[in-house]
Amino acid sequence: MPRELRRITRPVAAGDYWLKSGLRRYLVREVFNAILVQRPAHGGHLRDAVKAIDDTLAGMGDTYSLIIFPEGTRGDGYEMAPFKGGIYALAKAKPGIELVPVFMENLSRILPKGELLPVPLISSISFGKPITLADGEHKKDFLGRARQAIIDLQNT
Amino acid sequence: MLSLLKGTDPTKLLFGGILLLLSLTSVVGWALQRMLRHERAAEMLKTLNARVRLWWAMCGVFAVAALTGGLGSVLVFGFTSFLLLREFVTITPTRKGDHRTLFWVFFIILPLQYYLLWTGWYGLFIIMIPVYAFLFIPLRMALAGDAHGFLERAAKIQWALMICVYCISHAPALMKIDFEGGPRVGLRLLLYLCLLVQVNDVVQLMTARALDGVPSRNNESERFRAVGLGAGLVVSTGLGMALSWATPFSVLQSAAMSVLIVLMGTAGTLCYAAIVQDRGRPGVVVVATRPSMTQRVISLCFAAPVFFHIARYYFTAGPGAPF
Repeated sequence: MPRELRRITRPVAAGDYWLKSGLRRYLVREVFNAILVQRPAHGGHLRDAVKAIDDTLAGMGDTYSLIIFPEGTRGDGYEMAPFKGGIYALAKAKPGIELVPVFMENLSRILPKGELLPVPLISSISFGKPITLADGEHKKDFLGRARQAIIDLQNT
Repeated sequence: MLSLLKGTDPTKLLFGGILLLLSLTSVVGWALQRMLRHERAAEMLKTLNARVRLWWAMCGVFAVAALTGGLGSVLVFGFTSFLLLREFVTITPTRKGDHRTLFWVFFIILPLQYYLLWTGWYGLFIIMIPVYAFLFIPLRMALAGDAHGFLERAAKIQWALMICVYCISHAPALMKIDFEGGPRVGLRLLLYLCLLVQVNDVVQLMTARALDGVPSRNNESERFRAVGLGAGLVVSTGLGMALSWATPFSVLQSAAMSVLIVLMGTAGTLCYAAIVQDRGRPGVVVVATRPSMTQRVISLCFAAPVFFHIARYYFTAGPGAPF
């Protein structure tokens, strides 16, 4: 990515995972410039998690873009996992925000979950039309629609 | 003119001739592209110009290989194999259970094959992939514990390895053959092989493009194929005969070698067409980033081993040669 875009594009990642070792800490802070959320289920405090989300919301869409992985983890490469509720919560808290579906092909073949050494295959990334939360749309419908948007990208 | 050139190093002559031909084609192609507005002609020219660009790149590669001796060509072809394998495995579906096998294929078997080429260990070079890798791949997959489509997956990986690494490594191996007349003969044969394969490809492609849209009652693709093959045979054999001075072959032998190269190259193209038909166009992935490399090199992959064996069997200095 060009420098200017890199500065305003931030991934959201799990603090409990990324702060474990020195190398991970360095990567996530200095290289990825990530927003870290301490997940309560993994030993974080609920209060910290809420604060992180509030911080996230403050600048999202205005000063920076976020990269969110709605599956919550890396998949097995065969089927997309159901989406977690985070994107719904964010879309609801920030009405009108655009969510751009992104599909990354071949990543799970290059480095499957749990493997240490990557295989050099060619990958591609496709972007879809932005979706927004409709008025009064239910969580389940919205998450299903978002997931379908990415499945559509996969099949084109 | 010919007497003037007598005594010049044939390698330089061949290389110079190719560069001259290439410059000429580049200029003509560029000029025609500016002048012609006819759609089909423009399409043909695009094909031709893309191939000419590929040839410039290949000439650069050969120059590097020739100047740096054995190691340069080993590295250059090793890297080509790597890129080819990467593309090929990308368009072939593999499963999670293949991951570690693929890691072996990319980072151990491939470098090993080129290491064997470099050291000139002919015996192992020739059987390592068809025998040992062939046995190792299913073993590694079985250890990974995923039995789904086991044989198909093993076959796909073995095929990728055979085409992208084993077959193409026979092209630089020509430089290792101990010909009468010194190591330069091998380099000239490598140029000869690549030139004929490419010329045949281009002629067949252009013929297909030229005939595209001409109505016919018969099975069209078959007719194109026959006409294209005929054109490829005529042009490449003519060129091969004209180039016999650069090889250890007589004019007639050179003609036979050219026919062989054309047939093998065409076989490669046919197989690639079948793969594409089965798998669909080589993924969005490959096309979006660059034109398919496999498509351009597969004819060389098919022609190289056969050409190599015949050259080695009939034209070497004698027994006892390491390669």
